[in-house]
Amino acid sequence: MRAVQTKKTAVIAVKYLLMALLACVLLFPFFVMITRSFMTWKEATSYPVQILPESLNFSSYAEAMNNSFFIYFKNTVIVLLINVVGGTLSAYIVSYGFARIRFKGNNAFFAIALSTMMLPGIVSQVPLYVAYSKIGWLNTLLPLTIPQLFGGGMVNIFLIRQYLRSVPKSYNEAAMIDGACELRTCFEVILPMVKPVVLLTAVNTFMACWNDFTTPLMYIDNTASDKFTLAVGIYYRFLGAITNKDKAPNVQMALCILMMIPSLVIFAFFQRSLIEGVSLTGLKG
Amino acid sequence: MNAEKFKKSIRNNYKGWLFVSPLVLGLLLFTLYPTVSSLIYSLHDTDLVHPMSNFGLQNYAALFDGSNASRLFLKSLGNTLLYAVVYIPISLVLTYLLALLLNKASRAVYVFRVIYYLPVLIPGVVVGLLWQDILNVQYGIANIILRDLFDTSFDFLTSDHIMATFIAIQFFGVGGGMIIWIASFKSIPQSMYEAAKLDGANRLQCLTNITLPMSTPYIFYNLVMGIIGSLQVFANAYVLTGGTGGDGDALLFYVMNIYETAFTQLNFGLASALSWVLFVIIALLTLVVFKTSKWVYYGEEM
Repeated sequence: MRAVQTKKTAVIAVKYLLMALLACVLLFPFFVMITRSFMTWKEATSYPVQILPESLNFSSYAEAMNNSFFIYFKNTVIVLLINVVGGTLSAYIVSYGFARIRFKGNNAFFAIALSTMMLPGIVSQVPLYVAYSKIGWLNTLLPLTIPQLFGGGMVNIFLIRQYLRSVPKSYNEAAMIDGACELRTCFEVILPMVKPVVLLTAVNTFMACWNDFTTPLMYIDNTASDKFTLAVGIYYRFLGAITNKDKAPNVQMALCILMMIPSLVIFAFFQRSLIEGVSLTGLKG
Repeated sequence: MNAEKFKKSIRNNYKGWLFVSPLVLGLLLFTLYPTVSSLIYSLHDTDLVHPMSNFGLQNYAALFDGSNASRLFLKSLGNTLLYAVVYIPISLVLTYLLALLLNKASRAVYVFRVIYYLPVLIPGVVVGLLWQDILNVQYGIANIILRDLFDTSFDFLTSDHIMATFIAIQFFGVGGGMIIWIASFKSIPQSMYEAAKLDGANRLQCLTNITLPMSTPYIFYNLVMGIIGSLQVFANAYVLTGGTGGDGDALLFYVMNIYETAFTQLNFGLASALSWVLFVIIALLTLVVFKTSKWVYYGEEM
């Protein structure tokens, strides 16, 4: 009996050891970012390499937060607000139509809309570039915001619709008997009941939008640096084809840290629903 | 009479269509219109400045005629397929095992879940910058560790190694797949395990007879999403190579090639043809997965 017990303990110990080891590996990028962001330029580029900074040095953060940083930040926040509020609202209204209202063509249209997810983004991105250039949308924030207002993305619609379908029909019937119109039912009766999934959609939109690199890269070129979001701003500052590339690794890492702070804060607030709440409640569609 | 019927049909259906109208408009403007344009572009020579000319299949022919464009097409297609073939299966298995390991409701396990999820939050542009720094041959921390521990050095970013390096970097995102599996485990009724236990099933039998079959819809979902996502890898590789695709185009992914063709060379016809080929590949692969999806278990009622 005792041998079994010891064996069990040993298995658990090995399991935790493995888990801890993997945790170290996955935290390694953060370790590098943090330590190097506190180095001076000399420490960061010294040879042989220094692993830890000699003292906590904030100069790289000061250097990272130059004037253009605040312009990029402002642009990113504008895009973010429109997409998170407008995109989520739009996704909710459309999902409500699919899940709670009976109408001819409902399922067929949903299937068609869902199948567009198979279409690679690049198929439409190239002609949209041409179209945007004709209507003067290139090098503005419009391509990053307006499309999101039309439904807020199929993944989000799919997720909210699945959730809405689990709310009993009787709520709609009761609201109808009370004389509430569909729009009031949608926002005052049903919305409070599905708040978690709508919130989750908003958080997901936040993350996607904050990290989005591809869309601004395509529609904002490096002559319009006053319209950069943080993602492309950082890219062009350190890697893009602009001639005076800033190669200071400590400043790069400080910017990386700064760029991660908002996502980390949002994650800290919503970690439970992000880590445990992504239940797709049946993928039967 | 017919007009009456029509009116009635509108009265019965207008509300639903009103609610989904943003999506109708969105799909027309931002999906259907560009998709049709893309098809038309792909059959012409077009560059933004001059009007479209030369209707024909020349852009598709150019993919196989031995020119530089066709070399880049084949190279990027090869790279992308290689990546998908290596990355999808390993990441599915790895994230599944990880989720099994962490499928327990305890405080410590929760902390591990959070830690494993953290790298998912790193933006693509940061991933690229960070790993360029870590893997730098002269001052990168990776080579210092190698030198101090094993007394060797290794250039992670040469054309021979960069694909393996990139795949390894992508595995830092395992947390994203892991949480979908954990959610899938939670949707399995606990009563099944209790019944199995009463029948004397051990843990391995529970895994192969309950957990695995019950998570097949999620395996299916992750597989389809994995295919669609892997064939469209862009941001991380673009940033890691500074938009070049690396030495000898060893990390030139399919979408990166389209991006270059369209936005640097302004050859919109060829770029559109390339994107249609990608669409056909994705559609075919998805179709194959759907057709062979007999192993997916959708519960008793289906």
